[in-house]
Amino acid sequence: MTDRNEYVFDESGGRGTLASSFFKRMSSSKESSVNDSDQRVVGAQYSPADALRLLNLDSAPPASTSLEKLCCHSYADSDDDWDADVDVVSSNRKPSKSIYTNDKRRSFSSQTTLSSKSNSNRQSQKSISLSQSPEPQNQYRSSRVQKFQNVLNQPNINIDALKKLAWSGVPAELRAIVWKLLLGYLPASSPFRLLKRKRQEYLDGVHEVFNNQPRDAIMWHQIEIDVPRTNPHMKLYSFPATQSALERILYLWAKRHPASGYVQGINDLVTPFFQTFLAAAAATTNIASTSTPNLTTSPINTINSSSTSKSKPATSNLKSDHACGSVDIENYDPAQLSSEVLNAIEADTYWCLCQLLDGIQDNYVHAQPGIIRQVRALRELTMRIDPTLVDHFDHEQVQFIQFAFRWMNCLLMREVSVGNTIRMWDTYLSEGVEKRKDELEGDKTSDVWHPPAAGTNGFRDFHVYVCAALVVKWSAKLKEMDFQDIMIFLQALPTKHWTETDIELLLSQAFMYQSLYKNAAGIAGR
Amino acid sequence: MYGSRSTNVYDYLFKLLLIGDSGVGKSCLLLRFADDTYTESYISTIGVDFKIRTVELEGKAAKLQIWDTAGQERFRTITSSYYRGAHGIIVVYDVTDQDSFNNVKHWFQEIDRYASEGVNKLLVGNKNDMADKKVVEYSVAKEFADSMGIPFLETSAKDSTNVEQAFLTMARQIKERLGGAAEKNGGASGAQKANVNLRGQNISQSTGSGCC
Repeated sequence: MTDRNEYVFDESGGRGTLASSFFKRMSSSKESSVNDSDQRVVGAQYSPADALRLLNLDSAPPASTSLEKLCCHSYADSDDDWDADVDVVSSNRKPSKSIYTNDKRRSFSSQTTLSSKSNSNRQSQKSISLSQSPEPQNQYRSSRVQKFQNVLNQPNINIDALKKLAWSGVPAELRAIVWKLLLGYLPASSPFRLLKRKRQEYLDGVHEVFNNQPRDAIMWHQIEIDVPRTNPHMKLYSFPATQSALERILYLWAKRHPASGYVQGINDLVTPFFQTFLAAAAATTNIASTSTPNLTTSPINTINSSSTSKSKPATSNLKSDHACGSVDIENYDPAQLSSEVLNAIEADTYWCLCQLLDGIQDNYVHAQPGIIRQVRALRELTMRIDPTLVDHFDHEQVQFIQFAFRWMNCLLMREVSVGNTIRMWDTYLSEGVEKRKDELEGDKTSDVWHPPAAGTNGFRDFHVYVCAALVVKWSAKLKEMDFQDIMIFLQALPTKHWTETDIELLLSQAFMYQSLYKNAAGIAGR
Repeated sequence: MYGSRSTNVYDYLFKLLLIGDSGVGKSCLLLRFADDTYTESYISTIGVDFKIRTVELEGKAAKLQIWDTAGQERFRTITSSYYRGAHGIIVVYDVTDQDSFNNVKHWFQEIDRYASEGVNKLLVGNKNDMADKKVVEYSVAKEFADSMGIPFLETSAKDSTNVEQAFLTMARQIKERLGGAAEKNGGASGAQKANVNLRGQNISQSTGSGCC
C-alpha cells in the first residue's frame, strides 16, 4: 500500500501529460459497462466521414496536402524510383531536408487530386448515417490529426513525440504510416526510401523459400490448417487473396526464424498489420478508382454485395469503428487491388511482423520462456493490486498459467476483436518494441521477470499490466466463483463485443498500474 | 450464474484430457459433447481449454472436467503438465489424415512419459462423416488399439456419431478402475482422494513446469 505514495504521474517519460488526460477520461466514464456500446470516447473514433473529409480538403493548407500523401503514400505509388541504397532501418537518422518536399515523390500528385464531388457526397451521407459523429468530436478529432500532422511533417520525425501522441490512439487514416515508424520499419528520416528495397527483398525471400528450397512439410501443414482458422468470422479472412498472402508471410517468417518456427497464434498476430495496411491501400484505391467512371469493382460494390454473401450479416461490420476512409475493410476482398499493391501490403505486413516478433521471440521458442515469465509477472502484479483475488485463486487451486497462457501467446487477440486489438497496438507500439534488456546483455538464463529499465516493449511488458487490469476488472465476480466457474469465465471473457471505450479504459487502468508498480521492488522473484 | 457451488452435486469427479495432432477435431469433439454444438468456423486451441459436463453413470452423477489441448509440438511443454492429474486421456486422430494416425503412437509415448500410472486411455478416429476422404480404415485402427489393449471408437463431431459414447466409455473405465475410491462422498480416504487428486489443479505443481 505504501507504493501508492510513490505514484508519480510524470514519471513515465514521454507520457506524463497523457496520464492526466487519461485519468480524467477514466474518471468521467468510470461507469461505462461492457454493454455500453453507444458510448464513445472523444477522439477515439474516426468515422469514415471524417476520413473522407480529411482527404477531400481541396483548399487545405499545405500541411494537409502532405498528410494526404502520408495516408496514401506507399500503396498509391507504383512509380517508385527513389534511392534504395539504405541498408539499416534506423530511427536516428539526420536528414538533410523534409521528406515531404522531396520532389521525387511527384507520383502522388495524381492520387491526391481527389475524388469527384458526387462520390464524396454519397460517401459522406452513408458514413454519417452510420456513425452520427457529433460536431465537438470532429473538432477534437481534427485537432488530434493536426497534432499528428505537425509531428509527421518534421524533416526528422520525432519518434518520442509520435509515441506520446499515438499512445492514446492513432487516426485510422494515419495508422499505417505511424505504425511503420513506431516499429522502426521505416526510419524517422526519409521514411519511404527503403520501401522499394524491402518490398523486393520480401518477394525475393518468398520466391526463394517456395521455389528454391524443399518445402518444410510439417510447418507448411500447420500454416495451411491455421490460416483458414484465422478470424473465420470475418469475410476478409475467407478470401483466397487474403489467405494466400497470410500463408506466404507466415511460412517465410517461420523459415527465417528456425529457433521458433511457426507457432500457433502468430497467425493471429499478422492480422492487425494486414488489416491496417490493406485499409490504407483500399482507401487510397477507393479515392482513385471512384473518380474513374469505368471501374466496376469499387469497394462500394463490395459493401453492397456483402449482404448476399454466406457470411454473417454485414450490418455489424458496417458499423466498424475501424473502417479506413470509406472502405468496409472487414468485408473487403483484397483481390480488388492490383498485384503490385497487394505485394506491397504483404511485404509491409511481413516486415512489421518481423519487427514485432523480434521483441517477443522468446514467447515462441522451445518451452516458451517469455510466456512463462509474463505469466509469473502477472501473478506477482495481481498479488500487489488485489491480494485477496490471488488468495482466492490459490484457495481454488486456480493457476495463472491455466488462463493467462493464451493471453500472452496471442496478445489477448482471442479475447478482443481485431478492431480493438488494432487500437490496443497503437498504445503497445508507443510503449516500445525493443528486445529484453537481459537479451541485449546476453543473459538468457534468467527466468525471473524484471521490470525493464531499458528495452521497453509494450507487447511484453505493458501487456502484462493490461492483463492484470483485465483480471482485476472482474475481481468481485471471480471471488464468488469456484474453480470451474473461474476457469470457464476466464476462458470466455465477455470482451468480444467491447467497444473502443472499454479498451481505452482498460489501457488507462493498465497505465495506472504501470505507474504504480513499474519500479516497485519485488514484482519479480517472489 | 457464477459461484454456483450448489450445482456441484456429483458423486464422482473425473478429469479427462484430449490430445492428438493439430486439426483433428479435438475442440469440435469437446464442443459437441459439452455444448452439443458444432461450427465449421472454428479456431485453433492455444495452450489448453477447459470444459465440464456432468453425466450419469449407473445412477450416479459423474462430473467430467475436460481439458482440451493444443496439438502443435511447440505447446508440448505447457500441455504435458496437464497429463499428470488426468484420470483418462483420449487420443484423437483424423480418419482422413494418415499422418495424424501415424502420430498416434507418439501421443501414447507422451502419455507413458507424463501421465500417472494406470491412467485410462481411449483412441478416437474423428471426422468419420467424411466417408469419401477416409484413409484410415477402421480395421487398421482397431487392430492397433487392440494391440495396446485400449478401447477404440470412430466419431463425428459434425453429425454427433459416437461422441457421447466416447466420453461415456472413458468415464465408465475410470469408474471401474477407481471404484469407490473416486466417490466423492465415499469413505474417508476416498473423499480425500477425490478432493485432492481429482480436481486437476495440482498438475503443474507436480511437474514443476507451471508458472507459480
